Amino acid sequence: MTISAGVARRDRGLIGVGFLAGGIAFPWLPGPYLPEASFVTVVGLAFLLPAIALVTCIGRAVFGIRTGDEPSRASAGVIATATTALCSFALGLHVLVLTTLIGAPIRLPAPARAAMVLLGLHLVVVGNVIPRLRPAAQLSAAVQMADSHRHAWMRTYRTAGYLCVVIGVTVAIAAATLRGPQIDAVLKIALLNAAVGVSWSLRRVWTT
Amino acid sequence: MAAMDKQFRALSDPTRREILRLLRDGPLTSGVIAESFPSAWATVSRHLAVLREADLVVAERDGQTIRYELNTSVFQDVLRHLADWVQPTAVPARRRARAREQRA
Repeated sequence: MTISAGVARRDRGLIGVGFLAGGIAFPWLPGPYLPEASFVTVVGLAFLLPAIALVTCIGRAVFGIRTGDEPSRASAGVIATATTALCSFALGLHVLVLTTLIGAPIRLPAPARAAMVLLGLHLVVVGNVIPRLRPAAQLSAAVQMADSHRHAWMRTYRTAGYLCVVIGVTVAIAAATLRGPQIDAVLKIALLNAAVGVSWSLRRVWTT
Repeated sequence: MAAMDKQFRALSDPTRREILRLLRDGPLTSGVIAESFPSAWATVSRHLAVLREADLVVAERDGQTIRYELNTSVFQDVLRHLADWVQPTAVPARRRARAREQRA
């Protein structure tokens, strides 16, 4: 299987749109906010995020899961969804950065809010599928431990998925509706709750 | 859309939701799952096939037996809880009423 065939068509489309947006915005960069930026910085601003998405997709195509049993296929589906979510997030962020830098007539807090909402949605999409992940040689550093405690490993990932979705929804709603200090407070409370939830869940999973 | 239909169909049945709840505690063989229900083994096996087709469980052969493992996402878990709460039936109430009228 070639690398290009290993990258999903939708991911290729998103990355292509990212490079196209960078190419279109390039003549207007660095824009009014960064008048002193060097050429390398301008190239980075125009193409770095799509390039990161491209490298991630190539990494998935090269090191992705290939075994054909059902649990491995479920894990491969999770990785595919997470990769597409990352490409979408990178593209959204890229468009926001470019439109802000070239001085598009958008009030400045709006792109920052939009970026936070994008981050929240990204967490929701990835967190939603995390419980379907299985221990696999390509994904786990401690493969032997993960395999010998397979159920505990999966319960931990299920909990992580729930927390990811809850934090994602909190971030998206807070960014869309609240003001700066309020967002800060809400996120701190959400993260504290997540930390308590993770500790409690890990204790329950690994002691039973 | 077909995948969503399969998932909603799978989650609409209380026995299948109960199977998913059992699998939360770890992978189980079809025999152990069947023992947890009063219905015949073949019926439970059919339920497992529906869940597998909807991608809500995955099956792995382990020697002579098949082990079933939970494969639900967070939103599918939320849907399962919602389904437990609203108790949907496979046949809408209006259609059931019409069938009763026709029989009468």
